[in-house]
Amino acid sequence: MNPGQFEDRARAPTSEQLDQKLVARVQKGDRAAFDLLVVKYQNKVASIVSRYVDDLAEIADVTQEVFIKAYRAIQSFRGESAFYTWLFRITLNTAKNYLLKTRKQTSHAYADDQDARELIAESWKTLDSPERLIGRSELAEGIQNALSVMPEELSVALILREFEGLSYDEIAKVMECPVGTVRSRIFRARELLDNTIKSLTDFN
Amino acid sequence: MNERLKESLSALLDGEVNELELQRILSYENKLEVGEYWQSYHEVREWVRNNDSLRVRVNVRAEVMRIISEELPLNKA
Repeated sequence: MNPGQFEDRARAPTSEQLDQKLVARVQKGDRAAFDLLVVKYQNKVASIVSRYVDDLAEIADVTQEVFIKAYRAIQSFRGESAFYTWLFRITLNTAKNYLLKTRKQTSHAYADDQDARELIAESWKTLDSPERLIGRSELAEGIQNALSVMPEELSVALILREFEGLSYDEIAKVMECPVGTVRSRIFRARELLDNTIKSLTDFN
Repeated sequence: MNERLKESLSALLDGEVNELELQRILSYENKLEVGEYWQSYHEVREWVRNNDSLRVRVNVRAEVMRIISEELPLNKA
């Protein structure tokens, strides 16, 4: 299949549109909708935080603080930018403040007016230890293997969704099947891959 | 959780649910279970796309939801 051959066709509803829907519900008092946003973004937020903080417990604390701040401020979110962009700004500010606060507590060598950028640059950490990279590499390989051995109609449906960005309606046209079948195939493909991930991480 | 609801969650990941279906997901009694499957499908997506966002994995949802559940609902605050 030629990548991009579906560029002119209608795209699936975007992640951003789903976020807007969930945010609107949170603003009306639906906390369960916020729960979905937390789950969706917690690893992304933690990943940004990990650029500034290298202790996993502290990363979790700062990530938690980001979501609490976001929840308390969400009434002010008007959708001028994507929710994730807004959340990203909160994440950067929270991580930066955390860094300044902890540095002040742990070292008297830092003057109060020390530039935050300098502190952040010094604290830029990577958590990609060799062991972690090996685990990730095995998992990525396991996923590719699972994709290649699952029934073709499942992998094709998932690939059209994830890589071509087609809507279910478009995938149904390509695969010449009902939309409900597309939906079911994508779900079954994800279930198979989820089982693969769980079996590989349990083993490790 | 039944297969139908799990399939709905998978479709939600793709933005392919209507308002009624979204309502059914959000009103499901076992929020913990919903969150777990929702997270699993996100992780599958990240791995399939070989994204970098899983360089760190945390699970703060329980604590976040505990804290915000002690606050006034936003529409009443």
